[in-house]
Amino acid sequence: MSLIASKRRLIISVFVLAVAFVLISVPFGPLPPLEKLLNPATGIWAPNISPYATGIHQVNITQNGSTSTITVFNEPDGFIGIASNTTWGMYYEQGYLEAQYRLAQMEVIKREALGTLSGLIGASELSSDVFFRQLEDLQVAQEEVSNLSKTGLTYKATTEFVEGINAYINNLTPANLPLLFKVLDFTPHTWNLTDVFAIQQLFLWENSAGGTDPLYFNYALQQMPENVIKALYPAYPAGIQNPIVPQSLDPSVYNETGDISGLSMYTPSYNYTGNSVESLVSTFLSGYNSIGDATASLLGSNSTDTFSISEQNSRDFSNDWAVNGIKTSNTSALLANDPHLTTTVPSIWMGFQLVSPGENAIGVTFPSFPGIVLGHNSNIAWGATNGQIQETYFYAETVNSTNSYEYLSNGTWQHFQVINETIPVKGEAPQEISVERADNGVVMESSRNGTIAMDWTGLSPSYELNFFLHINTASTVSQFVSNLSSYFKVAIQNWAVAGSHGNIGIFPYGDYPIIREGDPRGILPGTGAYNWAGFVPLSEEPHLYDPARGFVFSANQITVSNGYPYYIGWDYESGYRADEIYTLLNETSGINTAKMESIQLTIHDFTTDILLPALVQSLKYGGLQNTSAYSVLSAWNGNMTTNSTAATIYYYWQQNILKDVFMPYLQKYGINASEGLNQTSFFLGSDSAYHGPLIEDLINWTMTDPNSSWFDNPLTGQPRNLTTVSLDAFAQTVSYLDSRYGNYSTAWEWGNIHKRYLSSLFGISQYNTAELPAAGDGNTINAAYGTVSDFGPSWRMVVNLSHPETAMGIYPGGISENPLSKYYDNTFVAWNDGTYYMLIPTNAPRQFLYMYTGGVSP
Amino acid sequence: MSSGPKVILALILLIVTGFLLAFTGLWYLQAIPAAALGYFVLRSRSLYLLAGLFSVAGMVADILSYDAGYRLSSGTLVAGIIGFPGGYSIPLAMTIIVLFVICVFGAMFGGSFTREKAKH
Repeated sequence: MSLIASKRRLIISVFVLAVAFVLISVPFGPLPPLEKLLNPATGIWAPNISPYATGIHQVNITQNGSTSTITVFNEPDGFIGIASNTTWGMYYEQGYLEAQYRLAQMEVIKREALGTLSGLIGASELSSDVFFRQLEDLQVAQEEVSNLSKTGLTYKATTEFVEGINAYINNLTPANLPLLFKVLDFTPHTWNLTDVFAIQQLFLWENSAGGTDPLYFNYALQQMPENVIKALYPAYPAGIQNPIVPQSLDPSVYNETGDISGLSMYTPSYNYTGNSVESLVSTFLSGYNSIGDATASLLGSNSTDTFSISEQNSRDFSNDWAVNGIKTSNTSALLANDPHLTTTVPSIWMGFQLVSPGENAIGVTFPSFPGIVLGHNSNIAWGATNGQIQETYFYAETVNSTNSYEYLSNGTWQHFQVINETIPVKGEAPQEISVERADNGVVMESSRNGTIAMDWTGLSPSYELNFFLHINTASTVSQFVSNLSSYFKVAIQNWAVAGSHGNIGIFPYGDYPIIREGDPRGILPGTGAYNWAGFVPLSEEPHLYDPARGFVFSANQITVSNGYPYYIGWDYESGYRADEIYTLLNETSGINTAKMESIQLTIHDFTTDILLPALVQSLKYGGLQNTSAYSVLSAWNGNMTTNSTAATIYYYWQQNILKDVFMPYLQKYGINASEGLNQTSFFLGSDSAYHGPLIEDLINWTMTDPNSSWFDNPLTGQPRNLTTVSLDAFAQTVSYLDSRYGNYSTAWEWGNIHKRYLSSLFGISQYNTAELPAAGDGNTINAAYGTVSDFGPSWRMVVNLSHPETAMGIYPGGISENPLSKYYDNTFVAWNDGTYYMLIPTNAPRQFLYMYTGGVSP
Repeated sequence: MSSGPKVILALILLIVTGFLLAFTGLWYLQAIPAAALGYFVLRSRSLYLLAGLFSVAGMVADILSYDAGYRLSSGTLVAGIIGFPGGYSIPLAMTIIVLFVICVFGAMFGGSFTREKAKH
């Protein structure tokens, strides 16, 4: 090679190598440096270093001179058993294992709670971070931690739990980072107690009912005449309602003065003159961020299957019930619970059995929580449904025109309390914001159109985590209730509980705000007169304990009978799932585990008992008796089975009749997309067939007045009645099904249209499961909302308190968040088929029967 | 040793180093053995290309030697996240191209310090 050629090759090779090494060492667009990402040993090509494997192994942990011997039982059904000779070891190992199998999930949840997603993802998540900074999640969590007794169970348990998480994180290598972290070029930081309590705040927000309803509904109050509001949006649900705590069973709480007599439920208290409601709500909706949006937006991928916190907040529907010896077959009591949440992979739940001296609890928990949230021990079982109690109130502040940091309160100018926040943003300069707080809430929107503050019961410290940790060792229903009333204040749930002594109860306890005037269904003036005047005293909160009928139940229906003296909310689940549960429990005797499971899996839609005869009658009136549709509908029993064509026809007919009856009213009064049309149940949202007032109105008018003038078209004046609107809706239904699935055939079977799947928690559609044909709908006990549904029973449990070791349960998904693990979604098919697993398997090591069987130690 | 067997030995060495460096996570350092062998043995354009190919072969052998199904599925998942079609093929192609370029030009770098004897 000549000297010139050599030099040329040297220059070229040096240049190319320099460019290549620079290129692989710097971030590649939104991706990490290619050297890291594509590294065969530690990047995306790394082998699976610590896969989840079933079986038993022992762990010894020494801390401060104390050694904990732990037996870990990895089960194939989404549960891990932890049996330790020390309580601290049990919580430590729980933290370690939650991190080992769900670290990415936990980290994203934590960042969402703390308002630091932007530092992980980038500026696309800034609105979410701003929202959770406005909720003061971090500040409230810090205050909660500082108030904990350092010798108390919560402090000690959470400290050990966090130690366990950090032990796993500190042992991480680049190779065994979660795949998502490799793509995001992220190494997790260690946790502290504040992180756990901030996540508590996040989950309380997700499970607090009310949400942005008043912002939307205020527009209806402003636009619609009072008589229309009364007819369409009664303050107490119309139709057939079986309240959770009817007056007949708990009359004492109906005798108080209350606050409802001073309220005006049908006229606005504040006239909002700003831009569209949508622009006002968007500020709040940015905080209903989806974890899926967060991760999917990083790479610009379109995610349509996202875990949406907004869905959690407004669609938190569930079932629970308990029966005692009056209804059972020689059994003290039984309890069933199935909380309805978005069914994701990884699941929102992890299954654990926690065994240590004095404790043996089994059930599900949120990854990033210690203890068991829903489950049982050897003496009691507990479950929850969302109480649908209004916990967000909105106030229009009067801001001083000469000093924007002052607002009017009770006639004097007060200063907003201001917290300055700095939000790190990946790839950009940090974002500085100021969070303003008035005495009636945090300012969420401030513009020339007005300053709106939101009061939420979670803006003050509360200790729901204390509740969960203490009930794991409660031995009676009374002890459960004592902990509930002491600690559980926000995100009010209908807690059903059953005990081995045969006691049962349902307790929707928490902080119920009291206001003295105004319309809490809309925006209230922030002048002070409409502020919360305290909370309903515990003695006046509704509850049931050992009712004479032998059962308690809830399915998110109205809590109380009409006449309860306090305002507690108005936008509940429709009540028809509750009616079905009530009917079955009332009619069934000798209840045992199998019957409880059967009730939990029921797919009969109660609304068909009322609407189906009306539809069939209408078809007969319309001369349609010779059609296939008439033939199947008239013979149908109302079960939403996968092989039913009648189910399909009914489902779409119900959607259409709701739209036909109520859309003209919404159009007449200017409720369009920017005012919330199709966004919320009372404005024909996607849940309007099973939630909120419209389906209740339809059922009520069908039963009581099928010729009601409310069926008339308010836009055109066209007189209508139930029959005419039924026929119109039917014609639309058949036309749609013909165009979509061809002429009537088996293609119209419900299972061809109605599917269930588990959606990726991170919004990455490649991580979704396949879709499976599914029975049920939004009004069946075994609920599957919508057509292609990722919302339903996220956990099913049935416990016989005479033999709690035989408790059955299942949650869809698996223990691992790794899509490549065979324990990622392995319980999905079984769950969809209605299978239950024994929560303490027969092959469990003997210490897992501690406290269930004599002579066993942990 | 004559040049033919030396070349074969060098290429085999590159497979071995490619495998070992990939296994240890130091895959980008494959440029060093490529440069060294470029200096001592591999002194033409065609041999530089072979240096790249055989280095890549070593790396691919590492990926496929253990838990291959899992590792390729992992590539497929990442491709899906990013939005690349074709499963793991694009991420794998990117990995191969990166290593190939480094090794080809690494060998060229080493080879540029030698001169053939002038032909008389």
